[in-house]
Amino acid sequence: METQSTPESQPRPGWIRMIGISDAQGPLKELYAQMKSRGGSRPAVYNTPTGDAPNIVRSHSLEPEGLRLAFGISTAIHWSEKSLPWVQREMLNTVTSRANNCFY
Amino acid sequence: MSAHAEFLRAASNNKDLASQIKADFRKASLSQRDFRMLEFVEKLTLFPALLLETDVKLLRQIGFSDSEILHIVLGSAHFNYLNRMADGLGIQFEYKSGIEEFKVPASGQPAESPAEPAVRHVKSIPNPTVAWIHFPEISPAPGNANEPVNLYRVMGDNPAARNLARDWRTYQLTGTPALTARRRAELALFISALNRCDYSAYWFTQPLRQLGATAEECDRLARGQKPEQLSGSEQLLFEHAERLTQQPWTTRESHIESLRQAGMNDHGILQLTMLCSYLSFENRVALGLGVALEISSD
Repeated sequence: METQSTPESQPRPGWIRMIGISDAQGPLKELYAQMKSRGGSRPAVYNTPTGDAPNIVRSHSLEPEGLRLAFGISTAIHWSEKSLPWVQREMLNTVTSRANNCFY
Repeated sequence: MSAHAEFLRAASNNKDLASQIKADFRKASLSQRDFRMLEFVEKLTLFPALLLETDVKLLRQIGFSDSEILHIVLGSAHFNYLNRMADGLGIQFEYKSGIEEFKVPASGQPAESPAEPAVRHVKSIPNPTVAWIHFPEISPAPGNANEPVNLYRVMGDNPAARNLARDWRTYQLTGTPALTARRRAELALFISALNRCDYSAYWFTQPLRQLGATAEECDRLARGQKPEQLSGSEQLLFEHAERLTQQPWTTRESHIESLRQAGMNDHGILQLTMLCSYLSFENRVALGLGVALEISSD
């Protein structure tokens, strides 16, 4: 079973247990590797300061299949040949998040 | 939003534009095309049930193709999912941002009053069309007679997204020790009613009846009312669903702690939050694209 090692001095990434890249095992580890491989072609601005998976991705880590599907469809929507241009996508994401009062 | 305002700054190489859109897109220096897209996105997020075919026609009129309209709806609907995951699980912002923050309201009224009955007689909707946009048909058609086929057909311009949407929906409705299939269908119908999404409500009523719910129990949920005689822990599930649907930003760690004290472990809390958040995606895809029921009116 995977374990999470978050030092007490670091802020918790969320309210439930989350597993980062270094502690992932089994299907989650494979999934993180696939996502990192796909992410290599994306702009560096998406990389987190720590090099770990983004917290919104890690929040799904207890359910790897849920993670695969939620972010698989995200890739299909935002990073396919039919996707909107990058600037429009980020405008859309920002306005949606603003309307939802979502700080993250 | 903080993360994506930062990504917008990188994408546009324009900090002022990112700051303006983060604060209020209506005051930003935008082309008419971008402005209209963002008006549509805001309406899809805040008042999805009020969208009309006219809203889609206006996008088309200003030059958006039907494929682009599909991706506007899918993109915003998926962000409605992500926003609820972030607020529902208290996800901390880990990026650095040089863009001024806005103040998240501590609480407030939902943007849309849930007081009115949400879903009434879903069988009475006669709509000979599949949706408001045109899309390529793919043979064989996705799904079967027991599935919301039109929801998948409308994504025909992006087969990868369509196939994953079908798998994602099946995953969310599959029972687990923490959330049975019946409980998932009840929550899905309840949320679809709060969002006034007749299409999804119909397609969650069908499995719920097969799982033993009475017509009266389904009607109650389809009006956006919680089931009668819930235990304290069951009540918490529906409260979490209602909060995430209508005011996700008001979720507090104490709400999660209450679920934990009621016996739900972190896997269960995650599954519940994923299900509730998923419905904000499906309902908006159906409402934003005017997906019509597959059944006839008789």
